[in-house]
Amino acid sequence: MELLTQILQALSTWCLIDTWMVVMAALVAMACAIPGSFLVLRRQSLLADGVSHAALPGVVVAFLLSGLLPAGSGWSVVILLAGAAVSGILASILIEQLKRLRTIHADTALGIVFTTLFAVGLLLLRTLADRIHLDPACIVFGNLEVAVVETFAGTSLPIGVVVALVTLVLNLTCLWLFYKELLISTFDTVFAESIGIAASRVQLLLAVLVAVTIVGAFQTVGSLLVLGMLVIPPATARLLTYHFPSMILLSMGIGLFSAVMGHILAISLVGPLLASIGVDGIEAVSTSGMMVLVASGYLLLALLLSPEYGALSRLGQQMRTQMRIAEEDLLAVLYRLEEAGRQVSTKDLSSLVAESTGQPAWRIWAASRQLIRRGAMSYEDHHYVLTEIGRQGGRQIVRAHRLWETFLAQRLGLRPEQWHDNASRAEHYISSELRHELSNDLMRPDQDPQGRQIPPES
Amino acid sequence: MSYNALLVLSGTMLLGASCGLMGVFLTLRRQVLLSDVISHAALPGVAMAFLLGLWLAPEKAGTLPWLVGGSMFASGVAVLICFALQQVKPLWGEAAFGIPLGGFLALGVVFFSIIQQVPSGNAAGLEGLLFGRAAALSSTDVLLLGGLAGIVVIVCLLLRKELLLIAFDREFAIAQGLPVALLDTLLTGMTAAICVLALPMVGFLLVVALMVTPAAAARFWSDRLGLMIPVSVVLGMVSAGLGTLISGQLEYVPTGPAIVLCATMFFAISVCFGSSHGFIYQWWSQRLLKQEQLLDDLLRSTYEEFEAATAKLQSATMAPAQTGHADLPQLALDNRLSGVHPLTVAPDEFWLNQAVCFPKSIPTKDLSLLKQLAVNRGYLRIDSAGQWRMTELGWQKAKAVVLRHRLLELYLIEHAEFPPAQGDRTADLLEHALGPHTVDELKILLRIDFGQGVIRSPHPLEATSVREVAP
Repeated sequence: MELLTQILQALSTWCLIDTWMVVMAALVAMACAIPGSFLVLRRQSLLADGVSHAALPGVVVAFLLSGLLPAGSGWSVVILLAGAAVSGILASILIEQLKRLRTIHADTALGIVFTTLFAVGLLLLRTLADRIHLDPACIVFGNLEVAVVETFAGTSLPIGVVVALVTLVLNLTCLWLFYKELLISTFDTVFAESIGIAASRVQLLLAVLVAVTIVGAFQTVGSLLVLGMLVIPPATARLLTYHFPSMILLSMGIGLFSAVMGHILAISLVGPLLASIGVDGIEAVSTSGMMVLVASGYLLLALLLSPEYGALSRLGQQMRTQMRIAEEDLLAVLYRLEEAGRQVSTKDLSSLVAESTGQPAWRIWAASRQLIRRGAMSYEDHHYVLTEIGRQGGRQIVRAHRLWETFLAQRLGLRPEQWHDNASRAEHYISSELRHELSNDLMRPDQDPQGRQIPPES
Repeated sequence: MSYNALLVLSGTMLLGASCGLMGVFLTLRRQVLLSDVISHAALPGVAMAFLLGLWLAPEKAGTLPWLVGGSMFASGVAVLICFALQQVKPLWGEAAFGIPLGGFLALGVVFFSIIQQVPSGNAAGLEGLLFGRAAALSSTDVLLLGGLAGIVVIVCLLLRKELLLIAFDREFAIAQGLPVALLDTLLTGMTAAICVLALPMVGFLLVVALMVTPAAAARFWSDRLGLMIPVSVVLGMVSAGLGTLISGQLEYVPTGPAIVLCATMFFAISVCFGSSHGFIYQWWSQRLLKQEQLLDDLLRSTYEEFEAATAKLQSATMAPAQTGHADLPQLALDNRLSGVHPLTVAPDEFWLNQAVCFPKSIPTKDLSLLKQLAVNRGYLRIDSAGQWRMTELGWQKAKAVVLRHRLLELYLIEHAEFPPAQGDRTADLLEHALGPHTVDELKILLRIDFGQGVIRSPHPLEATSVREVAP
């Protein structure tokens, strides 16, 4: 409770700067989602890593040039983005050329090019450190807190927000202009080439977009963390949807929420949390780091809950299948007992089903509850009685079982001891159409190879 | 140079060498990106170890053993996450690498922002890990890093056969009954260990370069692993040593970039001059090969010239209406030959006139160079009158070349059903690729056995029978 009040207290100090930080982070996150979606689908997410390293010399040079201009003018923004685009193009051309040598693989080429350019950038930074006020760690890790301080002359509009906005608009424009090319080339390179979309040009366009986005973001999240924002939200979106436009929108949304939540958590949660274990004096942690961590959290949730790939949903599906099998096993046993004219108490029935099918007792119990609720059987005087619905279900399972045994014996020539176990597994997966086909194919038998009657479909 | 500086230098060189060694495996297994993940994931590990150190043993926080331990832990977790994510269908491949990379970096940044605010937190030691600062290492640090790297190298050398086998041919390794999964894990673990050990030297952003660049450079020197590994090791060692020296001399140059740029320099040199795929080397050896071919062409055309002249002289002197020596100058002029006695023509007396028409395949500007080359090889000589003459060696070589050409022609005509003229042209293109062994095979195939002699040209010049041996 104390923790909660501390969090609220931390949040109550929210001011204009916080708002600007969230706006800027959100704009950057949304801008990242656009090229990021393509990178994830093209399985090139480490291109982002490469370009984010390689953009450093471009950023340093552009920063140096923009330092020559009067402070607070919009031109520095343009120069920064141009510098980024140039280094992005340079990096992708170098990588392509190295790949052409054929002696080394694509990932090796990527590794060599980006580390070299990054090293050059670092050297430039160190040599020019006196002339530009740029901290290497700040470029690499970003510093949102500082980025919003610098504003356009005479206004309270931070330059960084405009940079982020320009990046976003640029990305949206490119997406709108080259939507078809990007999409087709991403999903089917061969088809794209056949209708005249050159894969290398699309690749270059993407590299430039990534570079521009990274530079637009480097003050916010840093040139390294931008990798997280480029990859993680689109990967999350991909887990949740197949549809490409929804994927882009969803990843933009995830980026937006990560930015907002990231900042809120950064200023409110960590400090009180650490204070509660005895570490005082931590006010706020890095918003950019927190933002990527929140995005990672969403990814983790998607990995658990995604309808198709989520671990939990798969577990649920598995459990539903097992429950269905248990229900069918129970019905089949009841049908066979009824066929033999026997009645067994519920307790004996459970052990009978457990013995013949290997189902655990709790699942048999759950299955019987479920069957009674669905009206497939009723509970009368210490034993279960099948209703018409239940009898129908049991009959179909038994029919499937015996038809399959006949098939195994007549068509596949399996030995008698192989029939039963095999059919016990197969019976749950034989649909009514298949039963019909099997029956026709076997000349409508009315007895299985062990001489038991094969019941009719209904 | 002080004892400590020397120790640091040898330590970095050992680490560089081990990076070069592991890099070969890494590039062979196409796991370059994994080293990227490993090195970046070390960031939160380092920060976490620092914070943990502050909490548990404040006086030791920030010392190297803590930091190395922390980064090994974090890198290990990141690698496991990578492999786990590979199992999720839409994320396999690179996406699975990018996610832990981004996530771990973010975690590291958050930890660092905490460290900066911890009152007792002196993050100075951590700065070096970002961009590498070899000079700041103490002798105990170097001994620790070097010792661990040494262990990895020794394990690697002991298991080199098995490790190379799984890197090269997994299927075969499995068939051989090797514990592939175990070796895989061991190799990945050792790669991670070396990555992390090299961190204090190169900085976590640039470790990848030291792993990848020397190994990639070695590919340009040899295709054989037996040679690739030593080259990669030496390049790694030299780059690390050189980079450390440079950054020791220049205040503002951090060790990491210096080492990486040295490695890139060696890579560029290898791309140019490498003895296996280096493109300047390739260009030069192709040039030499081309020259060799042109020399063959020169010798062949000379021989054919001689052959034609002899044949003409023979038919002229054998003719019923023998005209005698009076026509010789005319005939010689006709053949662009002179000074050859009609019937007793000896190869040694045959000399090349300036006007000899060489095949079009030889550009005129190369001709004098070629002649010089032939003189150097002893195929041609300049006599006292300043004329080019074939030597005995030249004739032998020329016979072999002509024989090779005609055998191939015959083969193309008889076995590949080429029309004779086309056979000639195709043989022009292909003959240079035939080795002595193939020539012997062709002789057997075409049932030609005549010692060192030359067969007549199969296309109708003046040949009477295709398989008749020329004089």
